[in-house]
Amino acid sequence: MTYQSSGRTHRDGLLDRPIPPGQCDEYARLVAQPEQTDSKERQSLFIFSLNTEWFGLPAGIVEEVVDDRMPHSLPHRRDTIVKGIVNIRGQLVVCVSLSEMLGSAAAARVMPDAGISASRLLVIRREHFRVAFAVTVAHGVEPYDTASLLAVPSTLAAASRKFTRGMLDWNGHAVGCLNEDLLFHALERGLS
Amino acid sequence: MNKDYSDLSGLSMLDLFRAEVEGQLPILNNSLVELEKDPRSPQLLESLMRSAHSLKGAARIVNIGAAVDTAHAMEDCFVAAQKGGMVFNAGAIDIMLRGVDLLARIAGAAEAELAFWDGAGREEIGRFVAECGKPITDASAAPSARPPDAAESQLAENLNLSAATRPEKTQAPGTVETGDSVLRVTAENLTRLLGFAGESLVASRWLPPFVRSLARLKQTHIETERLLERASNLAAEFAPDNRLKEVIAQVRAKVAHTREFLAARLVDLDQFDRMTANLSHRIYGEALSCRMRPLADCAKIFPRMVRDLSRALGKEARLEIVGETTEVDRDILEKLEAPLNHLLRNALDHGIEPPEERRLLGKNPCGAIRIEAEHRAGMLIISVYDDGRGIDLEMVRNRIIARGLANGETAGKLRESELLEFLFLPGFSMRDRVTELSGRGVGLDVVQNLIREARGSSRIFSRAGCYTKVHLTLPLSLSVLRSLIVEIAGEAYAIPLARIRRVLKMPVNKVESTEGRQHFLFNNEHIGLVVAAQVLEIEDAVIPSGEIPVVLLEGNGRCYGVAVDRFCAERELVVHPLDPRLGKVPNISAASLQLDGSPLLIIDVDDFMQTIENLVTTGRMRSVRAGETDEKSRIAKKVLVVDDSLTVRELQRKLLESNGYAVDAAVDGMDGWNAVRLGQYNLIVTDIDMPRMDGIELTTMVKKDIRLHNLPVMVVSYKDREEDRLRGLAAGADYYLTKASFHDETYISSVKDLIGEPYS
Repeated sequence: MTYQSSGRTHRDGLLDRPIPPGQCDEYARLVAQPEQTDSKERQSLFIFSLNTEWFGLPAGIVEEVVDDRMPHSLPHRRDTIVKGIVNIRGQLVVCVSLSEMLGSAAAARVMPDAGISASRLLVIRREHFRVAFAVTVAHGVEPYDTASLLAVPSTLAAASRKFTRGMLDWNGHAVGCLNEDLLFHALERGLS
Repeated sequence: MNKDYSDLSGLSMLDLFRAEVEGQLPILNNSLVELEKDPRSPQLLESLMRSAHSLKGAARIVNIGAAVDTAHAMEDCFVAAQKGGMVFNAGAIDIMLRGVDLLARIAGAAEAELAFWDGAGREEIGRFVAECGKPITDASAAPSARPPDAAESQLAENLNLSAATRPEKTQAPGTVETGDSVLRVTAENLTRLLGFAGESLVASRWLPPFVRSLARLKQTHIETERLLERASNLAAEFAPDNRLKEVIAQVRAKVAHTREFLAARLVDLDQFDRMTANLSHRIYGEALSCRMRPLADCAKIFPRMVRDLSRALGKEARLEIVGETTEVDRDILEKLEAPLNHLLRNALDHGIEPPEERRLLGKNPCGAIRIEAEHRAGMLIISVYDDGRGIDLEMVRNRIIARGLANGETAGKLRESELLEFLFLPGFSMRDRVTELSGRGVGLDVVQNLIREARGSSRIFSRAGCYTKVHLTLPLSLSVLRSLIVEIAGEAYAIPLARIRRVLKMPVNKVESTEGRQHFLFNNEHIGLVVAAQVLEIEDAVIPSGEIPVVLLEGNGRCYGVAVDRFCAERELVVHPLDPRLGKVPNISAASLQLDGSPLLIIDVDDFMQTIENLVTTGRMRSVRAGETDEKSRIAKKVLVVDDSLTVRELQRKLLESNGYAVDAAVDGMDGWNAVRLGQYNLIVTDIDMPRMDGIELTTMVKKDIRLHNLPVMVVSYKDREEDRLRGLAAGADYYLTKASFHDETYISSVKDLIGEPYS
């Protein structure tokens, strides 16, 4: 009752107006609608680029993005994948070259403006396994719908070493979504 | 009582029982060993009875009948002895020690295995209980069990005590009174904490140089003031008008004020620096001490071991541990157990004579073995002493000649300490017979390697017929290392100070060359010069001109001069282990951080010396490299071995590699599937039963893949029934073998059938 009386004292009786016809039904219909079931299909992708190629990794495994720093090389290693060790917040982390691993460096050489230096280090982690690698641009997290993943191009599909699960169209770029299981596996093998 | 337990969050009742057993077992073991020497000691019997009783109560709470019965039977024996009904002889002690082992096994069983002890294992318990009854009845004294209600009421008390505090608090010989409550912290947490404490210690050292650099500013101020004084004098001379003089006076006042202000701030800063340095030292010290455990933690198993062994050998020996409260870093403590164990076995087997022999020699028939531990000059010193037959130097000399390690003339000239050094060589055993315990030729070299791993050293002292003493010197912590930081090929490396003999700057014109090898004269000694970058195989190694910074490294009787680019600093470094996935990086032991946060690598001096020696003996590095590339141009066929058993994997690896194939291994089907998609293989050999993905599934997936379906798959399994074979072949396997085939040529010949010789 107090509610009603206070409403009446209000100058234009805004709160006292009757609900417009049909609004109740409309809201009831909205609430009654089943929840969006495709939430499972929506995932977060961390998008970055290596030279001119764009890639995505599940956001959950990206631990942090730091300024690029010079790794300390490891003696006796002749492979091109392990670059050395870097200091990430007081802890030493192995630094690799993802572009070497994906073979995108070779492709980049064909591109005219491949001379851009990497400007950020991406630290990824699974359980106790942490690895850092340099990227040209660390864009950030974007949500995407797994259903919108496109098949990989035929030039890639036939290759035996492929890390790309599928392609995603983002901002006019073709982003290769990487298979993180295979990536970690290859990293673990590449290190030893 | 359940309420009390729930406070110990995260621990199940079973975990608590296990913790209690873990705590009581050393008490039981050590008290029993003591009891053998003093069978009527009321204190010992009391402590044993209490331990057995607490365990019985704890076992009852978690409802493990087998443990209840075992502990109960033991308790009865102790009670009988307390009443004078029986006296513990060596046989009865043996039975009791078996009971302790039984309890350890029950507590060690996984939850699923506990059913065994209630079922099939019950029989063993029954036998043990019957055995326990015997000494009592033999002593013809009625085993008057304690009144049950009294026992129950005391049970509650005991349990409260043991759950709330540490079980070891029950005082008994051989245990260390800590007098403080104990928290369980994971080793990883502790390592991280120590890492941060170490970082803050390292960071605190940044401030003093900064303060000193500000002090230079103060000096500039003083010089400015002097100049202003001169200006003021000049002003008086050239401009009699007072205006300029006044301005100068004002400037002087300002400068003086600035100087005073700066001086005051510097005092503050200095104070702050002292405070933070002190604080970080304390934090570091405290964090370090968290990692410290008393030596007793590792030594508590030894009295029992010495007793069991000496009985097995028909000898009498008594172990004394001096300084068991000595604090030792956990990592070092872990690394100490095996070498100490080894040394004790040596002492018993080689050192201590049989009782009759000792009696004839006029020694106490019971031999004395002593472990002594103490901190001395920032190092941990541990010695293992026995009053046995010592080491016969003439015998060592003969051995050296017999093994062809030196000729008679050289061996004759060797001094005592040099002779004893030979005992540390691999395969150098003084025993002709191989016994169960020692004398297999893996002896002191193992001890020395283990001690070296902990960055320590070992020495032997002995007098024939009197004693042998092995001296171990270890650092107090493995986490801090004093090192010289040098630059090699433009990057920072650290060399542990302990391994450096000298550092010097050698003028280039003093370096001579003979047969293409560089060397220089130092203290009348020609010392070979190697370039560090070359040893580390870093390309573009530029040999410095002018004066060459040289580090003299010494080891294995040789000395080398190692040329580096530059000496940077001497510093205490916090050791960070390298990512284990990198494997052993040759010549590198660990990594660390510099003051500016950039990483550096710590050189493994033993490894480094070995590499230099290899380079010297096999000729110039370039020729080594040329040989290597020749070998590599022939690419061997590659086999992927998928098996969840390490033994089977390594066996297959050995078989294949000895036949020239290259081998990769995967631990299960999933791992194998990932590997096969990444690598280039000529053959997959897989087991059937594996976690995550089994061999059949793996085979099916390989055979379904467009790119891989031509890759041959061989199944090797324990399953030898016909239907298993058919199942494997139906999945697409090209070959099905049973694991028995490892023993003959079948395995390798099948591989050759499928993919041919390793090199095509």
